[in-house]
Amino acid sequence: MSPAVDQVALAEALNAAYAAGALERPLALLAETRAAMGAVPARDLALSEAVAVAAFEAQRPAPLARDALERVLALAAVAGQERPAARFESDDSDPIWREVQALPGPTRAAAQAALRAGKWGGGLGVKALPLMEVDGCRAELLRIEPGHGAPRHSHEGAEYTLVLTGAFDDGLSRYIAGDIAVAGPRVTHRPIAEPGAVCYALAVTDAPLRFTGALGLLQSFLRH
Amino acid sequence: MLEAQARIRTALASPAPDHRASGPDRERFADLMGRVADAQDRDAFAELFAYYAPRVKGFLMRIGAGEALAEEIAQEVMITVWRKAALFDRTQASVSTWIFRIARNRRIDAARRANKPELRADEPGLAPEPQIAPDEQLSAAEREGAVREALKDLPPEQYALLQAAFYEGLSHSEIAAREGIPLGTVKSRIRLAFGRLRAKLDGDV
Repeated sequence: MSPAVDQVALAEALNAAYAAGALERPLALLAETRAAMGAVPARDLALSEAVAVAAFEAQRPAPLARDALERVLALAAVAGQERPAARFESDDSDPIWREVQALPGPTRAAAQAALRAGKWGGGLGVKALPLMEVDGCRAELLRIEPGHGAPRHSHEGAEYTLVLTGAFDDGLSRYIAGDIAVAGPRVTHRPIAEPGAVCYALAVTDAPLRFTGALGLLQSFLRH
Repeated sequence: MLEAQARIRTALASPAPDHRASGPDRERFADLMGRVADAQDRDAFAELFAYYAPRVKGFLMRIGAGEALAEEIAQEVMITVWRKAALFDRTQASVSTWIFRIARNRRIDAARRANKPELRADEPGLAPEPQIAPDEQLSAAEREGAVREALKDLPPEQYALLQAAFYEGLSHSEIAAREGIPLGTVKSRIRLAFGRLRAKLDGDV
């Protein structure tokens, strides 16, 4: 069975919200990761961003305070400048580490950063690596071995799960790499990885209450 | 909901930006970024500040920030431009794209700080990895130039819808309410307009 959610419309809504900056960081990671998984999604996200930037350049300027440049230069002098970070030291003897190296760039980078500070959790056949949390919106990387499933769970906010490798079935639909499964609040579901390859997925749980952005933009995709 | 209504009111109150105006000199601006990164050149920074700071402030006010908050965040964005200048890679993005990324990273931050002043956002997307092989990809400058050309050919009402969705970040239902047109029409017009841009870009490859 194919995904219940209209993947094209969902991608359009995600890309638009991403371009405008209306997504919380964990959902922005999901949009960036999906774009990194193919030339067409990458082109569409870049195009979305280019539309936003064209509007930004055409934005009617709002003058700043008279002393703004001086203030900024003074604070900038105190803050100094950053240099690009050194490459993360790899541990190629660890097979899971090697799998992580093969994940799409944005999620791989987030996983590398997360592994500096934390580690994988989870149980038999399923591992979870928390990647980031911003104001109740959380992203985690799931590693599900064939035939295993994420523990049956429900959530107060919406959950968006992007399949990175392999495929899973949540009992209602089948999702392959590049698909996004969407579950609304209070839905109880249990994604199970198909036989064959290990399934990696990026799961983003939205907070139940939002100030702005993601929920309002994406709520029409929720399955209740 | 209240915030969405506030954003719609703000958007209605301000005239649409003129997308037909020509953009900045991209090569020159990229050179200026290089001077800021390599030599901490304050004159180069001042030139970037003169162009971008008022646009960042205008963007923030357009999406609903008050004047004082927009001023404060615009200054913070420009401090970040100075601080992270060495992360700018002219082969990956134009200066406009790079600075707009910093500004939009602060968008939700702004909404949040109106409620909880202590919180700060991180800075995603400033040193992104190449997403696809360079030889398959239009350069950032080529893509932006092509999009600018393609936008000129769009009917104004289609351009207005694209801008509402991709720049202001309004949902399709918010746009339908603001423009007084059915939701289905909003969706089909945006898809049509985006499809035209896509066809134009693919045709140019």
